[in-house]
Amino acid sequence: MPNIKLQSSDGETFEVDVEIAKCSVTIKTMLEDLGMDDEEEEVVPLPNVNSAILRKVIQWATYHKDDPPPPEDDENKEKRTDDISSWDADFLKVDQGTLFELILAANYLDIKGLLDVTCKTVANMIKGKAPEEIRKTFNIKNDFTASEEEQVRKENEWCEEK
Amino acid sequence: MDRLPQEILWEILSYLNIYDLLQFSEAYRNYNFLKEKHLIRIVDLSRRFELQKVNLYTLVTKDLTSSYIKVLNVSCLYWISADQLRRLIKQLENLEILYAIDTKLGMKDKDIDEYVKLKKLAVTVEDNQFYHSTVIASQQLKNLKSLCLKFTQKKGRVFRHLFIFSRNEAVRRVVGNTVLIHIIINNVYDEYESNYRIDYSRLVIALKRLNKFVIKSKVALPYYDFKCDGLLSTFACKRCDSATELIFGKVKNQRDPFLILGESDLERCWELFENLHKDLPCGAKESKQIYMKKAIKEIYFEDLNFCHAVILCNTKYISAALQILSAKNSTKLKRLSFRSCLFQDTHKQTRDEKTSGFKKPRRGVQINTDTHPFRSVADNIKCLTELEIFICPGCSGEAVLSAYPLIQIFENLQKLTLDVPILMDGLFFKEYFRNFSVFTKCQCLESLNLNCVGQNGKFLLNLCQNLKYARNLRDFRLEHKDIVIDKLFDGLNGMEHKRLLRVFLKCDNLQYTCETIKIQPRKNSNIQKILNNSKKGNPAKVFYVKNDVSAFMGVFPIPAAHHDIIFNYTNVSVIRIDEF
Repeated sequence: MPNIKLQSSDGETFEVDVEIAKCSVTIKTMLEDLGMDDEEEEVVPLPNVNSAILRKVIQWATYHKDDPPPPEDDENKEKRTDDISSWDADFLKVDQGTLFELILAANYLDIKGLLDVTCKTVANMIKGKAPEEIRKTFNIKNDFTASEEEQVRKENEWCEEK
Repeated sequence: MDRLPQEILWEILSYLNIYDLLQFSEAYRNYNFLKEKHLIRIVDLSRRFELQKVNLYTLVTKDLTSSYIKVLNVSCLYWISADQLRRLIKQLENLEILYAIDTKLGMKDKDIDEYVKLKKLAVTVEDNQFYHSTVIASQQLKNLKSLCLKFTQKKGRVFRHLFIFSRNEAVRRVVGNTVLIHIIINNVYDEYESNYRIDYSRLVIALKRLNKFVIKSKVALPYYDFKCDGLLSTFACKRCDSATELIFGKVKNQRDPFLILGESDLERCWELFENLHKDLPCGAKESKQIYMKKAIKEIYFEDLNFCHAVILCNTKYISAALQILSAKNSTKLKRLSFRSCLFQDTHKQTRDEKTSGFKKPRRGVQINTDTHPFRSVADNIKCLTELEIFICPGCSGEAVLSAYPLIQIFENLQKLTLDVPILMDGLFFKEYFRNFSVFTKCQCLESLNLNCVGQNGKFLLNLCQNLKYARNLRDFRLEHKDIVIDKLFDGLNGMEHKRLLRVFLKCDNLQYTCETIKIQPRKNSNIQKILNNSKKGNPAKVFYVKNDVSAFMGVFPIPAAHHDIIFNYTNVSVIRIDEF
């Protein structure tokens, strides 16, 4: 299997199997567009991803390299978030900053599987929480004034758990 | 979160239901997304018991763009008037799917007028309504592709009407177009009528287009009259805790080219189950069919019920059940029900020798569970979300008790049903709930159902002290001889977030710590007052039933939508209506 070199924003290079790198649609199109030759020692620069995140992304892609394509969503069903595999769950036991970095990297590299599972993880962090808890979880400043808050609460009154 | 681009945020929010979205919008004022069409296509309000005094119509039409809504689920909102529901359905011009099980909607003429646009409908039907409107229904519901009917009674009449329904020409036409019809016959509470024999085969033949026929029953010995001739792909029959039951979860085709079921040990297990299932309508035959079809590469169970009849308890059965649970097929198991004998630690020496004198050994406190044989089984089925453990009268020794702390392993557990053995002190609850609060990511326990066998004050005390750690508890059911309500409500009121929705207590005597409340017969309303006072503004509904009184005969009958919390029947392997 031919390898390819990926360079992170902070200059570190990673040698990866081409097939694994191609699970990123961004890299795949890059390779096709540029017609990169396997023999050339070309380095693909990834200016939006730092080395720590890139290492994780490669780890994820290596584990999931043989995954079948995900099934189509039924748009009339609520999307599930409880189907995260235990490997992924362990993989994503990281701090929030890293998790968001991973989402951004998955989005930039266009890796659907990784994007899905990271978004699900964040959704799970929101699920079943009261507004105050959500603010606490994501460190959101409460910029409502007391009267505004009262107003919003009134508007959303039905969803308050009385 | 501010660093995330808008489209990613929407992607994340698309995983949330309407309820969480509203909470999120309140936390985060920058996003006025509720009218975004991508986000709210599905309005799922089923079982939202907190929506008690709300005008459903204004709430849905005010905050949401009604023309985007395709799916509406109002199941179990039994207190909302039929008029209000009909008005709402009318307003949602593009509605395609409606779930309205256990609501005031039915098959009345007025209701059917609103159903015309629907492609999929699930509704509870009273038999007389059904009779009068079948013809109209079949003519009007031309768009319908799937219909799920839940009957409230199991009476001969219903079935006569079903025959009429199936013979009707117009219906045949509709049914001809229909992809799926589910008929759910629910006879939870007419045990007295189970003498009436239903000719299921005739019914099945009459409804030839039927793809799925579901009988849901919680009666102890139903359907000995059942024959499954003519049934198509799936058949599921549910029985309560008097029989073994094996229902298959979703069967998936996966990339693994090897047939996992080839292992000889497992084969023997199947054989054993076949013997146990000999006379039962489903199970062995179906399982064998799946087994024989080599086309299926991998089978995963989602739902297993090992609740055997008490007399069937034997080591062969236990080891077979344990084998199945430790097989690879069970790694994705979601729901599990069994009797405590599966906890039997056969290798353990009796520890009684160590304790000398009159000091009783402490039961169930043992924290080191690593060596327990169930440990490896539990590790195999970590994804479990729903667990039921009933008592096996023959197996309640220390070995069994020492396995209960293993419940902690199931971090994803949402629903826990336990028969509490008389010797269990419940100390593990402390560990259990605290453990949960550590894992902020996991979906925490939402429903707890405890049935104490005999008087067990120590357990109750431990429970009350630790309930406050159950952060996400919504439903709580407790059955015990004497319930000390001030202690209990101290625990319940101590919860950080007022998530609790329903509390159901079943007991002989209600007590305060120092005095007994005298309950006069037939004066349940007084008790309700006492209970309402002690919950001190806690938003939960509290139901109370004396041990010897039926919940439905009492002074104030409890609505059918709450039956799930009232009965201590197994919920595993019950076909869920909302899954259709």
